[in-house]
Amino acid sequence: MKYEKQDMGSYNLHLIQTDKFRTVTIRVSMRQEITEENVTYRNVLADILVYSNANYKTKRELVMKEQDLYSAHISANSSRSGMYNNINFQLKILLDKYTEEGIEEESIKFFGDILFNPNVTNKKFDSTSFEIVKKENKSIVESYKESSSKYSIIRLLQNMEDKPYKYIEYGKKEVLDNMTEESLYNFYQDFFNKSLVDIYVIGDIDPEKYTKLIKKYFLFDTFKRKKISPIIPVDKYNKRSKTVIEQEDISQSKLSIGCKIETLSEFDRNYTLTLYNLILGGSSESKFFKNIREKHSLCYYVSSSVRKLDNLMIIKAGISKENFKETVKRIKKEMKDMTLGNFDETDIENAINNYISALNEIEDFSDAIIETYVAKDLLNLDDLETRREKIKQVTKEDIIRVSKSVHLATIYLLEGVKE
Amino acid sequence: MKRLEFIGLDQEYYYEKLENGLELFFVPYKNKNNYAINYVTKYGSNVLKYKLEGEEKIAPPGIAHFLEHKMFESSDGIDPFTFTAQSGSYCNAMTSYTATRYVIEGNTNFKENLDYMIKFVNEPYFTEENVEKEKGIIIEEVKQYNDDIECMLDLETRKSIYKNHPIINDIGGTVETVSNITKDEIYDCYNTFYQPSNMFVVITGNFDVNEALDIIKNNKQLQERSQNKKFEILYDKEPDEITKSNVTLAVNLVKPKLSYNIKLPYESNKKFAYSIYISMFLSLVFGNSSKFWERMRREGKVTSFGYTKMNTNSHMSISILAETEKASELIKDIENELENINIEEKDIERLKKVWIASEVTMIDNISVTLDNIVDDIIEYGKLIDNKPALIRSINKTRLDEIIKNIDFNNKSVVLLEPKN
Repeated sequence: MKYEKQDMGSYNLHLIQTDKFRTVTIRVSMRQEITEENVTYRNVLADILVYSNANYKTKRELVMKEQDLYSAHISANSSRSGMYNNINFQLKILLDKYTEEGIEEESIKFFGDILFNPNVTNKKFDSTSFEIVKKENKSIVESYKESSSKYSIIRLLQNMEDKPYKYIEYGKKEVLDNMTEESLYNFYQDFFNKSLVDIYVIGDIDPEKYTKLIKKYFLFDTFKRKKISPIIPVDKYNKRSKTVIEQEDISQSKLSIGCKIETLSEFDRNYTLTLYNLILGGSSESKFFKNIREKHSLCYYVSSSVRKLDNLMIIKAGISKENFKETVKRIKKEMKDMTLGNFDETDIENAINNYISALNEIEDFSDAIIETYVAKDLLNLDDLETRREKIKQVTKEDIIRVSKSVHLATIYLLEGVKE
Repeated sequence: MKRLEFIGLDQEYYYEKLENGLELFFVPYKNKNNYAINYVTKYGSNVLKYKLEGEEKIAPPGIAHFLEHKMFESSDGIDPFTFTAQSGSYCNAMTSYTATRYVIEGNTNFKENLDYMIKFVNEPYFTEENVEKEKGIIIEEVKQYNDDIECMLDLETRKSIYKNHPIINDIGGTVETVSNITKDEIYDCYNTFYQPSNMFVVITGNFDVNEALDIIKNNKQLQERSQNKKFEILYDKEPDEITKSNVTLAVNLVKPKLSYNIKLPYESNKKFAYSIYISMFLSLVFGNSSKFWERMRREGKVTSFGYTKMNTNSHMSISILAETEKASELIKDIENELENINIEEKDIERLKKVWIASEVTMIDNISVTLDNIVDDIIEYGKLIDNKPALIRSINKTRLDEIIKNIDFNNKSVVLLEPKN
């Protein structure tokens, strides 16, 4: 696999050459410093750009064109990475030998059109498209409560520090209500002019040919691109944790616990913390799984996951409400045991093998390979070869030290009161 | 082993049927780090009654799934999670209506993991104590699905279509049925349905075909289980008519959810060729390039829309799914659309391109390829290796004929509305 990065001025172009796949993947990754209002705008913009454009004025026409190009589907996803609001656009095309002459270039041209030729007149997005996308986003905003597990996490974060991780990813009703075809167009211009843009291309490609194609159709002309640290720092740790209980008409109670992590060194954040999480609650050999689920039958799922850019660890469990106090007690015990070194070399070895296995799997998927370059940018993560070596350098003492940097902050229970 | 090919996709595969009846499907890939193994029994939650060597037995709802959980017990204290964790490999299992699958995925220790998998699936260890302990865990799993709105809609949909078929039960059973399962009932199901002749192994990815074959053939626990007792799954006769044509329920949700369902008799020799025509019909009339969907979005009648189909041994059902605040209008629109089906040749040709492109993309992914093979064997009795050609052969004449023979009046509508 050969990697080449080119600074094209308005964007970085990453070319990854490999003959492992029957497809070529092109991802356009755009990010900007987050504001609460822009969460809603980024969601709507992502949806509207793939709904219609200047040449295909209805969704149906746009889809038919994609289908004609042997399924040259452009996907648009909006998300948050720490302090950044992201929109990712992605296209996967088949290698020439599976389609016809000319389809490859036409697909890339189509992709460029989606981004730079929106369905806009007089600095306003097309009303029909706008109304549909707005309505569908509104429906999501009004009904995210329907997923009790997701809702429990949202409520947990809303009861923690005032940070961007509190912003609900689906957006806000008030922002949608006030959004117009014109204000959305203003946001589009701003986002496209001021974002940090990275374009990734991976597959059996001729790098020169693709550089020319991207230059021809991806007409980025950004300025004032602001690079910020994506990591959200923690401001304070309280000695005592806060508990919030709310009730809902569901059978199973959803327990969500938020833990704050002190600022760690790069090595600890990228390596030690990962092993800590695997041992505590990140696998089926973890303390949570073995002790809380298997030994005490308290739940079907209980797990921990780390959000490195947010300096948070989230613990989730689905339980019967009678078992709330005992489950929390056992979770606290397992966390305390980590600080006391109550885990052994086998636990560490299993976690290291789990980590290395996950790294090996990355090379089988074009999307996962792209993610490694994204992570390099955001977290200064090393390349795969280095990661395989460095993970073995993590010691038990390192893990104990990091476990003392993890502080349980807020306990949230969505209590199920269904008869 | 017999060497064959996924025609048109540049991918070979190997097949062998062992003396004890176990079938093997191996798909070796160059250029991949991972391997994926599935050890599958053609037994899922759709079995409530069966005969083992002439004796009739009952399988309570949820038992296939319970049995799947219990396969992870071991008498020597080294369970599958512990064993596979040593090499950082992934181990799991899942139960569906028609199959139970045991999974190991990884990129090291292939031989050890394969041998271990054959061993643990052929070495059941159920005790009264470990059965009792599992009930708490499974009851939590059942409750989790009870709260899930999609699962709720799906359950009510199945109950509106089918009268007697086991598919009207949830895969995990209910809190009551799970609480009453006994060790002996579990052993009976195991001894009947986990016989080698009722099972198969699929391996895809980075592995050596001959090594895999040797490991399976030489596995001690498998060798000890070659006896093949006769069994028969019993079904009550299922009527062709839809069961409940209208169901409306008030549940804890925000936006109303609807399913519009048609019940069709299903050709007993279950041909893939028939099934792809039904899929083509659904794509054309209700898919994302359909006029219908475009219009529904424009008229604000749906905020989310899709379709699915479901097969049993005797019938097939088609379901159109929507999130809508205009249910009665939507129902009329769907009825109207089904009375005025007008399919154009060019639309069929365009969708064929999409489906063939999808076959190429899927074969690049070893897990998706494995899933597709398992699904085909369970549903159609064999691995289908010429899908691009079958897709190309779809024609308007046959499509029109099949659509003409569907009774669109044999339908049910299920609506979940918010409480209050």
